[in-house]
Order: sequence, then C-alpha cells, then structure tokens
Amino acid sequence: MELTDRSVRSLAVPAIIIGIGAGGMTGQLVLLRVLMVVSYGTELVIAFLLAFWLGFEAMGAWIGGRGAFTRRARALVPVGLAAYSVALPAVIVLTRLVAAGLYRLTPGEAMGLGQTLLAAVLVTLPTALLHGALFPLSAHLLGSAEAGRATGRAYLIEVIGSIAGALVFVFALAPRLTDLQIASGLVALHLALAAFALAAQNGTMPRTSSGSRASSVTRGTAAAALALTATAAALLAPAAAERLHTATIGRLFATGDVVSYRNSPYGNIAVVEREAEHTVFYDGRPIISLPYPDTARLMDYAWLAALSHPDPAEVLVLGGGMGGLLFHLLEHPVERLVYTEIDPLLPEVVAAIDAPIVRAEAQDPRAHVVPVDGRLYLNRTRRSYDLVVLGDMEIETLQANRFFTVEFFRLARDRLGPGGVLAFSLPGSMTYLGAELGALNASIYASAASVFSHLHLIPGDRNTILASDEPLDVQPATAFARLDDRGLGGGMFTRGYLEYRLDPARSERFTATLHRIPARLNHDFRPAGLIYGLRYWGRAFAPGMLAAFTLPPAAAVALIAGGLAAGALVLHGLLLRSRASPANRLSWTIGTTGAAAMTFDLFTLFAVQSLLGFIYQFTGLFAAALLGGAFVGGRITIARTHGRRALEAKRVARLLTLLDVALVLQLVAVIGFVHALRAMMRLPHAEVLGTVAAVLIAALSGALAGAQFPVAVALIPEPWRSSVGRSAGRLYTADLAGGCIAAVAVTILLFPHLGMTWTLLLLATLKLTSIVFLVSS
Amino acid sequence: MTRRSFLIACGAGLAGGGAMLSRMLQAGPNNEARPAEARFYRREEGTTVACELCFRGCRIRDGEAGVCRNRVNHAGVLSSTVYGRPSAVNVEPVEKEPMHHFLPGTNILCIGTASCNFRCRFCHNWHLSQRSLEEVRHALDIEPGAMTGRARSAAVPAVSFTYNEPTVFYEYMYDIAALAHETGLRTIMHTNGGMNPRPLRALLRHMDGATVDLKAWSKEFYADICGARRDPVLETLTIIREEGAWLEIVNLVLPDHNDAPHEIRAMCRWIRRELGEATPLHFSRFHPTYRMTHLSPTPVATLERCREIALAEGLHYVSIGNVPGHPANSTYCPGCGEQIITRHHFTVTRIALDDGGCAHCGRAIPGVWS
Repeated sequence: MELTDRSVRSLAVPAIIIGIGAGGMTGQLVLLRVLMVVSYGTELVIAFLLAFWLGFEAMGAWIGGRGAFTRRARALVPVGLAAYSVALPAVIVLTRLVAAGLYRLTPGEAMGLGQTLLAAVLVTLPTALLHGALFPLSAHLLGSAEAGRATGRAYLIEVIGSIAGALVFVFALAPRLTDLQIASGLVALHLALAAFALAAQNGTMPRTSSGSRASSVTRGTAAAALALTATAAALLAPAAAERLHTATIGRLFATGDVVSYRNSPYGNIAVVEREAEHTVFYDGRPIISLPYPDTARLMDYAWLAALSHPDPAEVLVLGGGMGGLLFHLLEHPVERLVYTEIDPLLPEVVAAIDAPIVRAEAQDPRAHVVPVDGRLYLNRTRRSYDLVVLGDMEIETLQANRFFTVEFFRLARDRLGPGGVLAFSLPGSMTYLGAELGALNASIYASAASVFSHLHLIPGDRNTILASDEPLDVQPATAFARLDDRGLGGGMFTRGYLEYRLDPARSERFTATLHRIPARLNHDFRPAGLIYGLRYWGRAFAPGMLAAFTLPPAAAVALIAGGLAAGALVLHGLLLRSRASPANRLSWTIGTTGAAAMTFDLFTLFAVQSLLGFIYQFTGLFAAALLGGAFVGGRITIARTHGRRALEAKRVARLLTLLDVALVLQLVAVIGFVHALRAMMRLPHAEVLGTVAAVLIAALSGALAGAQFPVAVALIPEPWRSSVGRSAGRLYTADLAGGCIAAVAVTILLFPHLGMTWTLLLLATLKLTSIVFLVSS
Repeated sequence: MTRRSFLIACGAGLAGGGAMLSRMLQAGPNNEARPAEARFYRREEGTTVACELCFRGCRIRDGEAGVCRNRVNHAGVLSSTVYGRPSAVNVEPVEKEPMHHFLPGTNILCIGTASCNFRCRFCHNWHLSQRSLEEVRHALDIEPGAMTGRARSAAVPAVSFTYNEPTVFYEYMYDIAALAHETGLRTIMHTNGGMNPRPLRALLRHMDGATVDLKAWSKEFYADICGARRDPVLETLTIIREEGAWLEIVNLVLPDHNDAPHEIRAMCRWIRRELGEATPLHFSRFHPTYRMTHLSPTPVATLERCREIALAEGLHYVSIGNVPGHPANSTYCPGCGEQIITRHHFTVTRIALDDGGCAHCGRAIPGVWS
C-alpha cells in the first residue's frame, strides 16, 4: 500500500479517526451492557461507567497530547489501535471472571457499591485511557501546518465515527450479537485500522536515507502482518467469541445452566435452568421463576388487589405481570385485562420456557399484551379501568421511580372508573419498618395520599398499598364474602388468612408509623423516592454510602454551595492567575461546556424516560442527533475561524462568548422543554412527537457544543497553538473532564437532592462563570 | 435492673393493663437505651469483660459492644441495651415460625428487638437483625410485665421470641418467659442456635419449645455465608432435646450452597441419631432477599429431593415450606400415612388429631397439642 501525503491526509487519516470514533462509542456501549449484567443494573451504574469512561478518556487524551510532541507520535497510532482492540475483549472476559470470582465467595450475592466501582474502573481504565490517547495522536496525523483547523477537523471526524458507532450498535449489533462477538468485530476493525495507519505512514515518511527506507520496509511488513491478523480475527473470531462467551457467562450464572442469553434494546435477559426449573434474570436479577413462581407473594398481591374492588371487570397491569401475577388476577371474574410490557423480548423468552402458568396467561382470551411502556400506555389510553395494578418494581432506579410519583398517581387516578382502585407495592415488612424502609414507604404513601382521597396499607414482605377516590372496603369479612361470591374459597385464602393479612390493627399501626416519618413527596423531576430507594439499597449493600443520601435537603444545598465556592477559589487562585491563564480560561470554557452538555443530555434522557419510557432504544437516536448537531456546528465555526475566510481574533472571541450565552439559555430552556413534553403526552402519536422534539433539541444542543470547540482551538495561545496533538489533548481533556464530573454530580447528588429546576439553574450559573472569565479577559 | 425491681415492674404492668398498652402503642421514636445489667459474663483485667452468652465469647472493652451490638460494657459492667425495648411485637400464626407440632392453627404473640450475632447474607428479617438499637427508628418501650399483659389482652396461648435472634435479648426474653409461665402462657423461641450451654439450660426452664435454624450441614457455609460456626448449633439442638422442650428444625435450602444430597443425608442421619426420628424438619424455599438478590429461588424439585432423603433416613415429620399448596405443607401420620394436619402455606384448614393421636390409626403423634 503506497499512499501520497495528500491522499493520506484527505482519506486515510480521516478514515482512521472515523474508526476510532466508531470503535470508542461501540466499545463504551458494549462495556455498559457487560457492567449492567454483572453488577446491580441501575442508572447509578450508567453514571459510574460514563464518569469513569470520560475521566480516563480525558486522562488518555492528556497523555496522548504529550505523546503527540514526540518523534514517535505517528508510530504510536497503530500501537494504540492494536492495544485498544486487544483491551476490549480482554476487559469483558476479565470483568466476568472477576465478578464470578467476587461472587464465588457467595454465588448469587449482588455486588456491593465498592465491587461495582471496582468493576467500572476495571472495564474503563485500559479501554478509555487508550481510546482517549488515540484522539490527539490521530489528530496529529492530520498535520501541523494549520494546527487549529486540523484539531477542529479531527474532532468533527471523530464525531461522525461516534454517530455511526452508536447507530450501528443500537440498531444492528446489540439485538443480534453477544458482547464478545461485537468485541471480536472491533478487534478486526482496529487491527485493520492499525494496518492502514502503518501503511499510511509508509507513504508519508520522508525518504532521506537508506535507514528510513529500511524502516519504511519494516513498517510495510508490519502492516501486512497486521492486515493478515485482522483478516484472521474477522474470520475466526465469531466462533472463538461464542465459545468464550459461553464459558464466561457460565461462570457468572454458576448455579445453573444458561439456556438462553439475549439482549434487547432495553436490557439483558438470561434464562438459567436447574433441576428442570427455570429462572429468568433481567439485567442479572431473577424476576420470574417457572414452573413454580413465588405464589405466596404473587397470589397474595393479585387476590388482595382484586378483592378490594367489588367487580374488577376491567383490569390494567403495568409491567412485572408475567409468570404469576396475571394468572392469579385472571382467577377473578375479570372481563378484560390489558398488560403492558415494555420489553417485547421478555414475553418471547418466557413463552419459550413453556410453563403451564405462562401458557394459561398467554392463552386466556381476556388477556391482551401490549408491548409498550406502562406509563406511556396510561398517557394514551382513553379507557377507564376498575383496577390498575403495578407489577413489583425496585424503586432505586429512575426507570421505576416514575411509577411512584405524584404525577403518575394523578395520571392513574384519571384512568380509573368510578370506585376504581390503584394497587401498588413497595419493599416492606410484616414486622418492622426500619429507618430507610420507613422513609421510602412514607414518601410514596404521602405522594399517593396527595392525589387519592382514600389509601389502605397492607403490610407484608412487600407492602401493598391500595388507593382510590372512593372509600375502600378492605375488611376481612367483605373480602371473604367477595371470595365466596366469586367461587374462590379454599386453598391459602381462608377466613383466617384474610383476618391475618387484612388485620385492621396492624394496618393502622404501620400507617401511623408512616405518618410519623417526615418524608418529601416524590415527583418526576424532584425524585425524592430515588433518594429513599437508594438509601434502602445502600443499607444492604453500601452502608458507608448512606451518608451521601441521608443529608437533609438544606445540608445538601449547603454542601453543594460550599463546594462551588471552594471550587471558585481554587479556580481563581490556581487557574486564572497562573502564567497559562488564557489557555486555562479556554479550558474552563470547554470544561463547563462539557458539563453543560452532559447535564442537558442527562435531563433530556430523564425526561424522555420519565414520560415515554424507552430510554435505551432512544439513546442511539439521541446520541446520533447530538453528535450530528455537533458535527454541523463544528463545520460552521471551522469555516469562520480557520483558513483564508477566518474572522479576526476579536470577533472569534466574541463568537465564543455568544456560544456560551446560548449554552446558558439552553440549560434554562430544558425546563420549558420538559413541561412542553409533558403537555404533549395527551396528543395522538405522543411518542413520535416527543421523540422528534427531543431529537431536534438534542441536535441544537450538539450544534452549540460542537461549534464551540473549533472556536476555542482558534483562540488557544502558544505553545499549544502550533501543535495539533497538544491543543487537541488539552481542550479534549477539559471537555471530557467537565462531562465526567457533571455525570456523577448531577446523577448522584444534584438531581435527587435539588430536583431538575435547581440543578439546571446551578449548572447555568456555573456556565455563567465561564462567560465572566471570557468577558473579563 | 435487679430481680426484685423487675418483679415490681411486672406487677405494675399487669395492674396497669389496658392503659399501659395504649400508652405503649403511642410510643414515639425514642431510642435511648436504658440498659439492664447483662447476665453470663465475667470481668477480666481492668474494665474489660468477657461475654459468655453465645459461642462468640466476645472480649469487650470499656465503652464497646459485642458482635451482637446489644451488649455494651459500661466501666466493667456488661449491659443489655435492648432490655424492654422491642422493635416488633405482632400477633402471628404459630405456623409462620415454623412450628407444626405446637398448638397448630393458633395465633401467638411474637416479639423481636434489634440485631443478631450471626451475619447471614440471606436474612429475611435483615431490617431488624442487621442493625443496632440506635439504628432502629421506632423501638417500643414495654417492660416484661406489660408484655405478658399484652399477650393476655390478645387472647393468645403463647409468646414467641423471634424475628431477630433472641439470644441477643436474652435477659428480656428470660424475664418475659419466666413471667409468662407464671401467668399460664406457653413460650417458644426461634433461634439460630448459637447460645452457650449454660445460659441455654437456664432459659429452657421457662421455654416450652424452640425452632432452631440448622442453616447447613457444611461448616464452610456457616463460616462464609453466616459468619458463624456450626458445631455450637448442634450442641444447642442436643441440649434442647435433653431438656425436654419441644424442638423443630428449619433448613432454608439455597441452591448450590447447602443442597448437596450427601450433606442433606449426613444432616438427617445426625438428626435421627442425636435428636430422634420424631423431630420435625422443615425444608424451606429460598427467595432472593437482602444481599442474595442475584440467586435463583430454590427449585421445588430440590426441596422434594431433600424431603425424600430425610424420609429415607427415617425422619417422620418432614415438610416443605414457602411453596404454598405443596402437599408437603401438611403433616402426615408416620403410621398410616394419612394427613393429620392439613396446611396451605401457614393456614391450617383441618386437624385430624384425637387427644394427641392420629384420628385415622390412633398412633401417638408427639407435640404440644393443647
């Protein structure tokens, strides 16, 4: 392969950078999926992975930026590509083995917070570090004649690769291939890129001596070897990856045989068989057991809910219904039961197990399965129901929390017919509500009580709460009479059982306890329930972490304000007064833009998840729109800041400030967007309209952030100005570090404690500091 | 608190009756410990004490607590911080213990406090057992006399010390049990079996029955998953049998952890040899809880295999729990094989016993029936 210098710059190097972008995004999504299965799959894990990824990538970019100075910079690109390709499958295998190793002490024990953090570091450290280093190094390949323009171009080209990677992963790879198969494909891609990079250098190296000619030949040989390796990897990897996948998954689910392991856009579903019985795991957690489900729980919940209504003819079940709950509800004289299940793969996987209880649920003509998010269905349906039943959910995720908010309860109330009942459950206890359990229950109970006129608590290992706008008759005698009328006497539900489960004294005692506990109401965009849910989870898995979630709101605000003040002092002292002040100001601008963009992303995703419920599927589209916007924005500003038609420096600086102002306004506008999205939910085709609106706003946000990077590059002073790698390294590091810090701070601290509005205003204030610094300079 | 003042308090509690009960029901979150001096400990050098209550034998320095979190050394005096401070007091079916041969179909008053001396990662009651009194938000304030008064008001025939490990509220349990016997109430406990022989024998003078968790036959399981030891539990079982209190055993079966057939067989052989064939044994189904949320529920086939092994080893009363509707929820006569107590989960629907004997064949069925 012999390429001219011009063709290298115009074709080969951009192709390599696109590959790096695509490989990075795909790798990140694969690793996220791996981590969600081995650890406790919540948004917390996503935040950790995102934060570590960005953090290590920032570190890598900084190191790569230093490397771009050296004479070996070009040689480092193929080395880095080859190393990244090897690192990806290696960390997948290693993570599963380490997780299995951690589990081996107690197979089936969920990872604690420390172990989850360790796993997140394990998967991101080698991969993100290497990937981060590749950006400035590959940017360096574009040449240094027009350093600023080259850096901006490299950024945009990588964006194209990232868009392609996100789209291909979400729509083509994820539903069809295992994690290791995708990783093996990436090995082939990166080895081919490495070969391409070597060959490209072969064509561009100056030939001034016999030594360099020999070196050129060596590189050609190495390139050919790498190309052959890539071909071999592409041909052989699928089978090897499958074997490796089977072996490592077997270690993860060591208590049985993994008979099915599939991914949907929503999560991972594994079926483990042991002694001819099947357990369905969703993102690593058992959710259905067949042919013997947890009857004591499911029948109790279904029957107590059904008995709370005199004639539950129209029933709606939102999630968590397959494998028992539907079966036991259908034992009552239900005329029509609608079941919403967000993941269409789950009914398919469960049906394949072919257990009698699932067959009965599927074949009952009264039951209708709707593959849609429950909350979205509730938004759109025009029917009213006698009974709405929420399947069992763990509340320490945002995905679940939105079914326990004041806004959800209002929606459910509007869909209930006269005397209709909403039944939901929370982690509970027949004996005692501890501090965390009490606060969680108190918050959700109070949220429901703020909407419904009548509530009734039935204590249990999961507390059942019944809510209605009409008085509820939950006396044991009434329930027993209804049982009799429905011809359902006998079995577990005897008169004695009903007297025990519906004991008014116990219910009153536990309800009184809930009334005594001060707890905040749970709202969609001020998710107190998430805080209480995480506290409850933390009590079992990370008691040391409890402090972060037990702060009263005032203390949290004081802590955040204090942190910001201290940060401002450090910023002023260390960054702005130093000799590198101009470059530091630009880094601060790009860093806060990274934080603002990340916050914007998170809140748009939260809003879409909360109102529409399809976050995972939407992520690819959202990322593509965001990055596409960044590409367009970047193209526009590159044209205005570099080359012959470049604006004068003063006007470039003004452009940077204007973009900052736009970013501040955009953060504030998110609040309006969220409310508009909520209003949109009642319109026909709400999900389409909502998605289009979110995609458009994502593209706009991406355009603002993307436009700023080349502008900052154009203003960066010497010595960074003359080196593509170094300027790219510095600003890219700032961008990623800002995103990393925002991902953790917003998800864990700011949003749950302050809610959406205050968090966005806080970030807007942070971005304002960047404007102040720019204007003052 | 001395024995004398305790009895005075009991008298006052009984006299107070309903008024006191009402006040206790309204008790708010007040978790200040009012420690009572612990029993079964000895002073060592200085102010350090050695607790002799359970198998751990904690050496506790001044100001510190034992592994159970409840026994605190105050200047060389070991105190129980949970005396009179129950966290949970509820009326429950006796079958929930589980206790199948002890007043079947009746409700009993169940009492629990905070904390435990084991650290089982699958604990069902971890909200209570894995925390100290300080962490328990709504501990009540009920002296032993008032507790027995509460039992009588609820018209139950027995009180049970359960929910968390009763060893860690030994003094409180002992005083209630003694007083309950004086007032004609039966007493039972659900224990992990980690109590030392001397306090156990003393307690059994006031205890009519015990359900003991034999968590596994493997010592490694006890060490790795419960943070405890197996052999003290076996000793406890033999002592309960010797002392004549009614004894039942529960084995919660965790897939791949304690369900190996050879271990189940060895356990059943030991039970038959040391405790007798009439000792009821319950195999309970595990459902994901506490830290073990990523483990499958126990396959019913595993539980059935365990039961078959136990029956083959000669045990007479082997049941399966946490699988509502399973035929082995019920009790069968070992003579004629007929169902003598019909259960669905913990609901008793029929008792075919005549004066402690099988209503079908007349064979005497051991237990506490009236």
